[in-house]
Amino acid sequence: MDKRLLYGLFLIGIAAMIFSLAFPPAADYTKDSSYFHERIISTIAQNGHISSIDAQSYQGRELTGLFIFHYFVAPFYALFGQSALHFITVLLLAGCIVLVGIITFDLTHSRKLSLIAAITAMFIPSLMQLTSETSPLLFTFFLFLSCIALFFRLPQHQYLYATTLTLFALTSPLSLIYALSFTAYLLISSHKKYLKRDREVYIFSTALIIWLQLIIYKKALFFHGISLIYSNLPQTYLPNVFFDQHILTLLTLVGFIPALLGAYAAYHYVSRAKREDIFLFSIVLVIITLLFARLLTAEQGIPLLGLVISILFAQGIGLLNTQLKALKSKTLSYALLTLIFIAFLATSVVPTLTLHKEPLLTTQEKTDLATLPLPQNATIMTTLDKAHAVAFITKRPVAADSNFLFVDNSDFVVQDIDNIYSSSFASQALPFLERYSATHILYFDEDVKKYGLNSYLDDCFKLISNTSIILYEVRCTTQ
Amino acid sequence: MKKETLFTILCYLLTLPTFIIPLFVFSTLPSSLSTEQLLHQDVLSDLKFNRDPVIEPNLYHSILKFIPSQRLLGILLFATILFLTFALLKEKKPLFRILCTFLLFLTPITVGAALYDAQVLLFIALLLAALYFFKKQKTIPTLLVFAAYSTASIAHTLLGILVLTTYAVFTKGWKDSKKTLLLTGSTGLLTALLSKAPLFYSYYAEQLSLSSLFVELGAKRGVGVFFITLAAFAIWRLWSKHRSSQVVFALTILSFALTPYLGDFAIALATFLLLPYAAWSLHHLLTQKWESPFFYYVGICALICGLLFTQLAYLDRAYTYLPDQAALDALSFAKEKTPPNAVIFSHPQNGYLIESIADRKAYTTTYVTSSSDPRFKLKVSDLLFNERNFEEGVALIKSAGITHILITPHMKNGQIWYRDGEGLLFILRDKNTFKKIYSKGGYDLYEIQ
Repeated sequence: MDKRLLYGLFLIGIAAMIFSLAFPPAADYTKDSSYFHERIISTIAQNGHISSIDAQSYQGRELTGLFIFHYFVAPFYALFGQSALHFITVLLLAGCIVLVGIITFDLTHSRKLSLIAAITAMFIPSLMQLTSETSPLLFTFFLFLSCIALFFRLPQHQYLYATTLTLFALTSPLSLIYALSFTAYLLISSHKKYLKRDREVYIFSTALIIWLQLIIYKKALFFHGISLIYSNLPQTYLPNVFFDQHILTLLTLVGFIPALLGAYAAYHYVSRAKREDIFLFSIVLVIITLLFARLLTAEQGIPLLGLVISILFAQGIGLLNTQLKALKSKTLSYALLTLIFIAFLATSVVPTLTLHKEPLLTTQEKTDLATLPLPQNATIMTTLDKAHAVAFITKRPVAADSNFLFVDNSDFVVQDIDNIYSSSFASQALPFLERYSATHILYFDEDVKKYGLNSYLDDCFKLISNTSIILYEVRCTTQ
Repeated sequence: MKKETLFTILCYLLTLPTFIIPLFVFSTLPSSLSTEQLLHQDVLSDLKFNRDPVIEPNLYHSILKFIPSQRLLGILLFATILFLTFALLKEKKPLFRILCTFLLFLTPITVGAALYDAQVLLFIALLLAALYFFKKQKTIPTLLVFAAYSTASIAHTLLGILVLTTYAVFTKGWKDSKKTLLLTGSTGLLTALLSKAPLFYSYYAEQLSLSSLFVELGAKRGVGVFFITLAAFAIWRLWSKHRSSQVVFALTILSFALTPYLGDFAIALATFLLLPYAAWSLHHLLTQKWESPFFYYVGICALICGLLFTQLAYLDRAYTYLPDQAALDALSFAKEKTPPNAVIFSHPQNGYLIESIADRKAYTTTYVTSSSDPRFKLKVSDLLFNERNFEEGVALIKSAGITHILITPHMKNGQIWYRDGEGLLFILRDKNTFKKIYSKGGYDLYEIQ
C-alpha cells in the first residue's frame, strides 16, 4: 500500500473527526433509538452482560440480536461515559472514510482518485447525521466496507475476510444485503471467465450469512414470519421508516453530483470486464431496489448507498478526466471540472456543513425527566416518539415503546396510546392504562399541543410534576 | 471410496439427532399424538361404530386397521421411501445417492410426516413405487400401485400422471412409454372415479404464502431455505442444458400452488421433485475442484450446518403443535359433561381435537374436499368471531345449531382476538345466555342456554 496515500487518508480521517466533533449536526440525540442503544450499553457496562428480557420495555419483552457493537463499546462507556460513545462513533466514521479511499485505490491505483473518494464520503449528509447518534449503524457500515475491501484482496486475506464476514453477519441483518449483492454480481457477470474463485467465496459468504441470521433471528422469524423485515412496525410508522420519496430526494440525500458521476462510472464499467466495479454496481443496484421496495429502511440504506457511490464517483471523475484530456480546448475542460466542483460544493458540502437537527429533548426536559419523583415500581405511559428516552433517563419501565418485535398486533399499541391521550373521560382511558400496567402518565409539550391536557386528569390523576414535563399519577382503577 | 465412506458415516452421525430428539421429547409430553394422528384414530373409531367420520377415509385408514401404531407406520414408510429413492437412482454415482438420502433426512416435511402424519408418506411412497415399477417396465405392478395411489383424490391422480409423464419422456422418450402411460393414467382415473375419490383432498386449508411454505418463517409443514437454495442453484445451472429441469421447475411451482387443495402432500411432492436437484448442487459443490481449500471446508460446513439447523429448529418446534395438558383436560371435560349430540364451536383448527378427543361434533374444521367445502361454515365462523351485536350473534349461533363454545388461550392471544371484549368475547359476557361450564388453563367452555 502506498504510504503517501495512507498518510493522506489518515489526514482526511482526522479532518472528518475534527469536523464532526466541532460541528455536530445536533447537540444531542435526535433519535429516540439512540437512547435505547445507550441504555443497552449502560446495562452491559454496569452488569457485564444484558439479560434476554428487557424489563424496561412493555413490562418485559424479549430482546433479539447479539448486541456485538454494544458489548464492544461498553468498556469504554464504563471508563469515559457518554463522550466515549461520541468519540467511537466519530472514529468509526473516519474508519469508513479511510476504507472508501483504500477500496478506490485498489480499483483505480490512483492516489488522487482515492483521496477524492474519501473527501466525497466525508460530505455525505445522511452519513454525517449519524455522528450525533448512538447507533450500531456506523460499525455495521465499517464492517460492510471491510468485507468489500478484503474481498478485493482475496486470496491473500482469506482468514481475515472470513473473520470480518462472521463478525458482520453476527452484528447486523444488513449482512443479507452483502449476500444479495453478491448474488446480483454473479448473475450480472455470469458470462465472465474470472468467476470461479468468486463463486467459492460466494457460496461460503452466503451460506454463512444466511445460517447465522437464521440462528440469531430464529425465534423472531417464527413469531413474525416474513413480516420480520418490517420489524413488526405499525402501519402508521412505515412511511416514516422506509424511503417513500421521489428519486430526486434520494439523489439529494446521497449527494447529487457523486450520484450522477457514480452512475456514469457504473454504466461505463458494467459493459467491461472489471469485476470489482460490477460488484460495487451490484451493491448500488440492490440497495436502491430494496429502498424502493421498502424492504430496507432509509436510515440504513441511504448512508450506505452514499458510501458506495463515493467510490464510483471517484472513478467517474477519473473517466471524465481521461475524456477531457482528449479535448483540444483546455479552457473547456477546466471550466467543466470547475462547474462539477462548484456543483459538488453546493449539493454535498454545503448541505453537510449546514446540517442541523433539533435534539429530541431539550436540556430542560432532560433535567426535569431525571429529577421526576417516581417510585421504584412506576411504569410510565408516554407517547412512542420519546419512550426510549424516558426509559433511559428516568430508569423506569415504559408501558410501550417503538421497538415492536414480539409485540402482538403493533397497530393496537399505537391505537391504545392514541386513545389514552385523546380520551375525554377517565373511564375511557383507564382500561387502556391498566392494560399496560401504567402507574403514571407523562406529557411533553408536544403532547399537550397535539392532544391537549385531558379534562379527566383532575379526577383520578394526581399531578406530580408540572415543569417542562407534566406527570400524573394514576390513582383510580376500573374496579 | 474412502472419502465417500467417511462422508456417509458423517452424514448418518449428523442425522442421528433427527430421531433421537423427538423420541426423547415425546416421552415427556402429555399427548404424544399429533392432531392429525388423533384425527386418523377418530376416523377409525367412527368407521368401527358406523358413524360419519369427520374426513373421508382412504387407503391409509384401511392400512391403519392392520398396523395400529401410526408412528411405526410412519417410520416404515420413511424406510420404504429411502429404499425406493435409492432404487430409482441406481444408475447415479454412489455419492449422489448418499447425498439424496442425507437430504431426505434433513427435509422437515419427510421426517415431520413420519413422526406426525404418515398419510402424506403413504401416497408419496406409492407414487415412487409406481415410478420404480414403471422404470423396470413392469406394467401390472405399475398399474396396481398407481391405482392404489389414485384413491387419494382426482387431483392427486392428475399430478401423479404429470410426474410419470415427465419421468417417462425424459428417461425413455414418449414413443417408448406412451402405451404404458396411457394405460396407467386411465387406470388411475378410473380407480379414482370408481372409489368415489374426491376432486381434491386436504385437511388443512391454508392460504398459500411464504410463511406457510418455509419452515424458517414459521410454516407448520414446509421446506427449508437451504434446501430450496440448493435446488434453485441446480435448476439455474441446468436450465439450458437439460430441458427436464424446466419441466420439473414448472411441476414444482404447480405443486406449491396446489398446497391449499392437497395440503402437505403438495409440499412433500415438491420436495421430492427438487430432491435430485438439491443433491446435484451438493454433489457439484463437493466434487468440483476448489481454488481455495479454506473456503471449500468452511463453506460446505456452513451449508451442512444450515441444513441441519433447519431440521433441528423444526423438530424443536414441531412438538409444540401437539395438544398440551390444559387442552387435554378441557376436551376430556367436554367429552364427559356435554351431551353426545352437542355441536361445539371453536376455531376451525381446533375442529379435529374436538372431534377426536372430546368425541363431539365440531361446527367446522379445516377439511377441504370438493364434496365437503367448509367455506360457508368458515365464513359463518368469521362473522361470529367478530360479532358484537348480542341479538344478531345469538341468532347466528342458534341458526347454526351450535350448543357449546370452546375458547382457547391461543384464540384469545392473537389467533382471533388481541383484546378482552373483542367480537364474540363481548357477547359471551352475558351470563344468562352463555353459561361458563369450564374455565381452566385459559380454556373456557360455554354452554348456550
